[in-house]
Amino acid sequence: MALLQISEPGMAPDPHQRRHAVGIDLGTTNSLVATVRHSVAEVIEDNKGRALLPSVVRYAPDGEILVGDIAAVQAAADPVNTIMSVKRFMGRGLDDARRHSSPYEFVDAQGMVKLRTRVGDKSPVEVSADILRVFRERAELTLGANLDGAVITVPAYFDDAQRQATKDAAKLAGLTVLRLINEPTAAALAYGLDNQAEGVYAVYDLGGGTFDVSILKMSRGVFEVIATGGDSQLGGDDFDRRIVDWALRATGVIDPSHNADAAIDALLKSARLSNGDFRQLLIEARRAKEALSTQPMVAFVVQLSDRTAVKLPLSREKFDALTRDLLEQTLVATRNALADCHLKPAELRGIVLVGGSTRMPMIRRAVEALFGRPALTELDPDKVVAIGAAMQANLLVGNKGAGDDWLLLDVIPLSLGLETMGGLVERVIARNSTIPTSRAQEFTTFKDGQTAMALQIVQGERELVADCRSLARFELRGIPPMPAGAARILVTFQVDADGLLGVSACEQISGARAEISVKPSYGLSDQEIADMLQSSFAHAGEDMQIRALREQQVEADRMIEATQAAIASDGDLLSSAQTEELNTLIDRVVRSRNGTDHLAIRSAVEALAADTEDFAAARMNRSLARALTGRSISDLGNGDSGSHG
Amino acid sequence: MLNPDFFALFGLTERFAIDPQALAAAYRTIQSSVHPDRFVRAMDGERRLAMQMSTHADEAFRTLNDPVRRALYLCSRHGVTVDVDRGSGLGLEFLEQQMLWREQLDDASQAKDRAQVLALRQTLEQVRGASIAKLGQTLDVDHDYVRAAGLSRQLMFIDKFEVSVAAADRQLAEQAA
Repeated sequence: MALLQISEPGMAPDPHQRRHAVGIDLGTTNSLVATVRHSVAEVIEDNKGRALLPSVVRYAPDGEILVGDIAAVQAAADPVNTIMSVKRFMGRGLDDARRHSSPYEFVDAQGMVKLRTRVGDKSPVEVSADILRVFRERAELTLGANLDGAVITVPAYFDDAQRQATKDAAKLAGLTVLRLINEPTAAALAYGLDNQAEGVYAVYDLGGGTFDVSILKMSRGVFEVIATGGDSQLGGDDFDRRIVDWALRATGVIDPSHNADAAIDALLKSARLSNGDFRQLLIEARRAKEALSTQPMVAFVVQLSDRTAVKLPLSREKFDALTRDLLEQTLVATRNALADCHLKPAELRGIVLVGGSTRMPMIRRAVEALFGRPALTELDPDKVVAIGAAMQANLLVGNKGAGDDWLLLDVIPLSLGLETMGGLVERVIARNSTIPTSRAQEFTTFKDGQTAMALQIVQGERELVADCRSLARFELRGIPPMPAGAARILVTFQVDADGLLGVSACEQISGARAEISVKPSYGLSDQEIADMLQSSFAHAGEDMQIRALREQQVEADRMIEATQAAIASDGDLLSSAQTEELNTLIDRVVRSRNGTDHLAIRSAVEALAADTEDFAAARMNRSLARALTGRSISDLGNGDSGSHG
Repeated sequence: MLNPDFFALFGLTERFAIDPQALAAAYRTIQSSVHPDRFVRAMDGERRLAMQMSTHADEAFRTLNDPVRRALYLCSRHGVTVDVDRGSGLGLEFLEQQMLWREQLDDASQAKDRAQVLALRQTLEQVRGASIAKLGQTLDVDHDYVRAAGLSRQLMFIDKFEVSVAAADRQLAEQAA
């Protein structure tokens, strides 16, 4: 049960008080929460001293939601209601979910697949929110205060739909998302700040279900990602599956000549292999894989429900051979990322290994061979991402200590574009573009008198729309009838600092305008989110009104603090009448935030926000001018023409 | 608010020859003060402006950091704009050269002759260096923006072709591995 802070009537919270922020690594296999306390970033453990929370959620017969180890122990006994590796289904449709055999009942749903459980059909967003809620409660209990915000990490290679799903899950869990940051970038932050690193580094991050590689340039506190690559459907889970496939083939349960996924799906369908058996095999495979990291040989032993015993010795050499091509896929992605930034492996200053799967000796050997240097591993590969996220959360929330100043400049992992005639993709923003960014492109009509235009937004590197992921589709209407090719439709893509896309289109002659944030086709609709919130409140016995009030109070506090701080430092930009007006509006926000009407708070905040627009602009100009002076401005004239760019 | 003069934004003299290090340093300085991460808990107006200004700095940096874009930007500031999607006006000699290179690349790829591909890459590097030098002369000394626009387009084609050559090289290297 979270402790609520109650401030004295008529008092705004002290702007100088420490704020509480956490970093959360929402992993495929395990998740962690960390925070900065006494200037040290550390993971927050549960009351039994455990830092890692297995990313497992069980919907128990009595309606209870169990998360973590307590859920994992029932994974084989209750496979359909015990959701593991849910991250693989975030922002994904039915076809993606069915690509590999799994012991779930999938339900096709608009946008994102759902999982059928005894408590109803669950979106991966809801399951992830159940994990995140545990962390919110754990952190609030440990810190003794409500959280002001959280940084949530996502694989660098997550696309727009997967990022949006993650953000929705955090909101559903009652977290204020300060920022989504990429897992390898978080790891680089944890390493770089510790070691005052300068130069170009690679982060190789192989987790339970995702693989990322990021190349970063670290220079005087700026962490600039220059290229990223990976596969959001490749991780330790796939190595486990190779062991299962091998064991079932070697014992004759499946025909060695058949495709393993198809064969297992057929067995599951005919109930010759139960979902529980399959889960048991996967759990044993993971155990065997982990044991092989420290010993040369293990016994793989599973008793199936029909009493067949699957019992085989597995050597490290055999395991390496079974998974060689998975490792090779990661190396190809790594080489491609290096090629994207025109670098050779030897030009890097260091290579960081992140993710539990990098404990496999062959992975480490292969990465070290590729870069020709030993990898950096002094930070725990399971914790480093959460630690980095906590540091970033602490900075973003405004708890700045001495020397605590850095900037992350990240990129989008996949190109964004639009469908044009013939199902071809017109790229609007190329992969590895620094965010936030915005690009506009002009399109025209292809028929005389065409008055509407359907825009399909896609993400991916392939030339054909069919080979890319469709993010959204929207229509621009009200184009005045013109001959084909005469209309000038400007489509603007804006990617924000979370890596999320917004698109607007405008016909420039008539001014017809259409705008969307990219959600409909692969994300959840606002109504779905509202329904999920309602049902989660019902479950947790929480009151929707109280949640809404709390959210508005958090917003109000931010606006009060920000405006007061702005007046304190740049009040000279305001006339005394303007200052008085702002103070009156601040008072109104303070009074409403201490009340119970969340709508009143919102309207007071909106009034204050509207009145600070010009002041905000003046302050931005001043801070930009200050940043630029003090820097020696020189143009060397004889310099060469610039880098490749 | 959003300075439309990219050179002025970064405190650089308006010319083709720039110091890439000074540009990168100025870019980082600006991002350090306007990036949305600096305004997570700021006033609403500042949060929106931060996104706009950070995006603007990004566009300015991308434009000046790339020789082709920088040259085309300079040309446009002197009233010379080019439709980069049109293939005309490149000059017959240049087009013939392009075709010859493409044939060489196809032959080398088919023969899996990596040495040949590497030789082509080297040639391209030299041609690219020479083109950039010529662009600098044309823009900064001759101030001939019409001619510079044509040279920029040639350089753009060289850059595009270089991407194909690099991809072919990578493919051959992977096949060999």
